[in-house]
Amino acid sequence: MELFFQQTINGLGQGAIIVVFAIGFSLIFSNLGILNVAQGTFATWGAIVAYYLCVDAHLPIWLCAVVGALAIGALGVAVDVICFAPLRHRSTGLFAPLISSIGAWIVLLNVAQIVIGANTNGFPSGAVPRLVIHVFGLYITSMVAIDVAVAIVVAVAMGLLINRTRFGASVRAIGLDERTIAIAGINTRVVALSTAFLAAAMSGLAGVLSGLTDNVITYNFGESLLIVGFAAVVVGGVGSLGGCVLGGFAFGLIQVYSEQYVSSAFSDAITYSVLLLALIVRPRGLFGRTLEARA
Amino acid sequence: MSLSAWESNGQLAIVYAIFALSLYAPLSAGVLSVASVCSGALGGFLLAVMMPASGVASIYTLLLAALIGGAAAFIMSFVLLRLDSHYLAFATIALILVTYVVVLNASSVTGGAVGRVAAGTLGWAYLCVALVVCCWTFARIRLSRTGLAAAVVRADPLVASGIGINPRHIQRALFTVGGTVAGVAGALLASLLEYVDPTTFYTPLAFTSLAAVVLGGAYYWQGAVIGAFVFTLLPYLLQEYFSANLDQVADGVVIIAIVIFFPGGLIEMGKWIRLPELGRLAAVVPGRPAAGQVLDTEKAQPTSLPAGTAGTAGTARTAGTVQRGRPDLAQYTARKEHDGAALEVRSLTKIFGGLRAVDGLSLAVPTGSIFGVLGPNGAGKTTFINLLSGVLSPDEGATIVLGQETTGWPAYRVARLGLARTYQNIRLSQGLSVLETIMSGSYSRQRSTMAAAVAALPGERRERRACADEARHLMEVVGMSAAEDRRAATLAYGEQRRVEIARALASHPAILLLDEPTAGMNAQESAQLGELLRSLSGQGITIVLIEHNIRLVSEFCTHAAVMHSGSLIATGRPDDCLAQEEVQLAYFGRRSDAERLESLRILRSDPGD
Repeated sequence: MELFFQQTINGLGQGAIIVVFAIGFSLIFSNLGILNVAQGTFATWGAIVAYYLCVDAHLPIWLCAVVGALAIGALGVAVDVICFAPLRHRSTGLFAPLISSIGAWIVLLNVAQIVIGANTNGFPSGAVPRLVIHVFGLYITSMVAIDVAVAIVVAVAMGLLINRTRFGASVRAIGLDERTIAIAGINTRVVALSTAFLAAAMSGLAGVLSGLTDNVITYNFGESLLIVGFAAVVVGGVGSLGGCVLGGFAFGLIQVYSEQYVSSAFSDAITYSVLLLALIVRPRGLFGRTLEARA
Repeated sequence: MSLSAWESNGQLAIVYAIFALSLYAPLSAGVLSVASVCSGALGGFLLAVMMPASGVASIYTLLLAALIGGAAAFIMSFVLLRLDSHYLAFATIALILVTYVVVLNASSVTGGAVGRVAAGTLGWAYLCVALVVCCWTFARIRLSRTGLAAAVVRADPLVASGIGINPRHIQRALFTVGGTVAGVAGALLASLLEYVDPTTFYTPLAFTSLAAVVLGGAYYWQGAVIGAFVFTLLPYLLQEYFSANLDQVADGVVIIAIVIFFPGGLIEMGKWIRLPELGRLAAVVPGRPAAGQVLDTEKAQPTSLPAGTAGTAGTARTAGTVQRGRPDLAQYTARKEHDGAALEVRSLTKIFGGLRAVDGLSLAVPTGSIFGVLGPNGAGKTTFINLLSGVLSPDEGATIVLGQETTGWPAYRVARLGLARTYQNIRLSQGLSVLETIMSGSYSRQRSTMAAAVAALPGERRERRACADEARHLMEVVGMSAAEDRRAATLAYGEQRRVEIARALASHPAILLLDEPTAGMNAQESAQLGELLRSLSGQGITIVLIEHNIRLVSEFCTHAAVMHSGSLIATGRPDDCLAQEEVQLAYFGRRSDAERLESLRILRSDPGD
């Protein structure tokens, strides 16, 4: 029983990272309508930037994380300007931005491979706090606590931003009808770029956290985050922040439980099967909205 | 690149081209799915199991792979096609992931993570023949009634069901074709690589094939082939100039550039180079007039009359033109004789949440009438038409079409009874010419199967030729002046409406339902449309139209019904309805407003609208 609670804590820690990533992915997917397969590389690059800031510039780790996230935000804006913005006013549907994002993914993945090679890097041992807290006989590592704390802070902050501010309203509106809100006087270009910035920054932050927690940075470690983050968004419900949070934590737990109680080989299978099942049984996810169209 | 490198890459390109085609098949019916990669996996592992290390793989292995791939796709379609487009795409990605894990763990059959060896004896001959057969198949399907129906389904499944096409059926057919083709491709890939493991049929293959289809040109099967060749050979070409990893970076950059500068795909470049349109090298439709031949100007309807001929003079001229060139429409009218009302509804009710959009509506549309449905916005007119045509099912009451009770029937079934319908927003299929668009309307009347089309049987050819002749006939009937091989989606608005009506007529309807056909038209165009409707009605077609154009209704309609807040407030002759106080109240609000407007009009001596 104790093992179960212990694994629950680990699962929540893992889920927290997925939550942060999912929020970023959902932001760009539900509001800009772009299925961006390069989001995983954003996470990888977040970790890479933070790593070099830590090792070469000797910045404190929290600063590395923040600067890393901001840098990836800028990268996200660049990718949007190059790959997605030119397509925005052409109403090309789901296809063209997806293929464009595939191009971006190929570029970013290979540049990462050039920079970091086939090595596995890890943060220097002094950089990351590695305390262990004992509570009720359970072990909570400091990184798990930090991950969960960051996830909660990010979720609350994004929730307030998206739902309680004027900027957030325009972000939500751009997903529904861009032309109309432009007529209403909102600078859609700024809103779109800001959304891209936030989405990429979230993914970058998730990458940093993942790099810190597992202490493994390879050129493609962000890809696994992409798949499970995507699953979390879909199962939680596209467009719903609460769905991202719930989905993220749920999949973190699913992954950890399947590794523990079934086998590590099957944990991926279970993740994907849950996703498939959810799509068949309840496509709009837990909290997703259904849109009715007038015939 | 060395010759042997060219050779092996060329072979790989052929296999990827076939994979791209397998992805194109469902896409041509509007289904974005990468599930064909799973069918490919089945084909590939089948080959590996049947031909482990030596032995000659034969045509039978390929046929079996095709069969297995197609069967798997057919079965999967029952679950997948229920999903909405985006969710379907996600589900197929998830399906690939699940397949990966299944392959990884079924080690006895698949060799687990290590994979297994496959016989590499299928050479150039097999590859080329397979590619040619696949291209032929897709070219033939494109010409056939299934291909045209697929293009309509892709543009809008609702519109397709309105002309008697069952969208699910078409999607399933093409989904299965995709699976069959993928099975072959998977077997060929396994043979080429001489090895299969879990990563052979995984997401990179799916995304590469998808990119090939889109980059080549998503609306044409030729695009899938071109895209695959470019996408496969390009990285190897780039390898000559760039070092490791940088060549991939260059590849990614090229992809982005193509998507941004050629959104329609590489096939767009054909426009610049002035190539004859690929796929049109053979006559699309047997017996079509040579390009450039001008339509008889006497029969062509002028779209704008010289200034000063507005009003009745213009109407008379257009009426005269229509009369002179009017072909015999009797062949297009109702299939069976039928007494009584063409359409009838009894106590029809439809509730959306708290709103009673249609509330206990009962009326009958006499056969051969031109029936106008009026009412302010939000009165429930479109809901009423949706209930009649089967797009919606009523919560209470009954709909009766040509004497047959159709309550709860799906839309395509109602359409096949003899009811054709147009929509407020014209959705014409991309990539279809005017003639093809009209031909797609006669889908439900034709009998040729997809197999007959692929085999180029004479019966199918004959049927298609007759269909094309009829489509040309209909172009005259509706007074189209555009060339038959123009892209329908590039026409002017008024012409697009005509194409839409011609398409509806191609299904030989007994009843035509038109939803605001004159929206966006000026007075001349509206008058021309009214004349057309009158001539169609003279041939026995019952016409129901939702209209806001009061002048059109009072001039051309024989009967009218006025709706307000879901209920019927007047019915009978149009002028009688419009004179009723309650109707005027519904349109103008308080009576005093109507009176005020009337007095203003008299004061300004406005000749009236």
